[in-house]
Amino acid sequence: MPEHQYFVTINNTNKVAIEPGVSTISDVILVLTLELNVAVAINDKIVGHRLWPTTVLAGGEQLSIFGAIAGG
Amino acid sequence: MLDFSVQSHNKLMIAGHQFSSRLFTGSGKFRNSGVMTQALHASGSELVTMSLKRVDLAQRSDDILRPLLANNMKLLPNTSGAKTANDAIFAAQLAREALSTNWIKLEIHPDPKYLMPDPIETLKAAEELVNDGFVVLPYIHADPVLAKRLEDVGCQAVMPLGAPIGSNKGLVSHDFLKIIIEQANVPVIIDAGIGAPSHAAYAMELGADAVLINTAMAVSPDPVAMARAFSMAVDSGRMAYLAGLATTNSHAIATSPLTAFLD
Repeated sequence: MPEHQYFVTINNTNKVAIEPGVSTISDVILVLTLELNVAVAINDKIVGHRLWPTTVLAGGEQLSIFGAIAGG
Repeated sequence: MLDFSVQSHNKLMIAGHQFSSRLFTGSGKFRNSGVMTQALHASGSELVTMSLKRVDLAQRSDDILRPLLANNMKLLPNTSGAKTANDAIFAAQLAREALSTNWIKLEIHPDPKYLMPDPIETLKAAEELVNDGFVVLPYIHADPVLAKRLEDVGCQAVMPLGAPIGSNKGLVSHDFLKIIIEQANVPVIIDAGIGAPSHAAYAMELGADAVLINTAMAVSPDPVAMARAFSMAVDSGRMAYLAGLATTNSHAIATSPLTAFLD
């Protein structure tokens, strides 16, 4: 299998390896040491917080993760 | 007779949420989150805006949320960066997920030079967001017709501009703001362009329900003192509005008797 299928891409730049113990959105958030007040979209579809623990990633997905920044 | 204590007449309700302070604030442009926290605390503001952005994993930014939540601030995420109704709807949905709030400051400004809000995209997005259960506060030009249309589709407040964002020019739109205030059945929050506490006081004297201040506070050499000054100006302007301003005349009307001494 091509290598990219074992990774998810985060915000078009970083990659996270899908491996035992790292397979759901919750796992990825934990690996990235992110706070929980972020929003996640897979291939531009928003996935609600309650679905994070059960959303299994196969690899190859584009994850977008958004958080709050200062603004007026 | 009016009770002139500011507190008793200073409760603002938006979508069932009560605010004691009529000074809303933005979290942008402060030197760091420490200064921001101190300034917002000094302002007495209970509502603060912020933006959503893709998280930069390489360079984690200052955590602005923790101090705001610790101070019990109501969060008002904005859709800044949206150029179309669809962009704004996506941004609002992201904000709802990330911050667990259905409140959204709807702003759609495709043109980066003047940041003028797009009225057509704004109305379209407002209607969809209201139907999706959002409390929508749209940032608009001082357009009385648009303000009514947004009210009609269910927006819980309108946020007309005084002048372009960050321009600090004050209420260049004041004649149209007056019409919006006169006609509105939802709170009117003057947003953008307020550069000095006197501008904020003037907005409140006109009968605005609240003002939103960011740049003028954040870029001051002393944001904490400036926050306090804005707070006093907003209270002062509100009190003057409630007391009722004297009418203006084009000729003099004496304040002392003009009887000649020898009569």
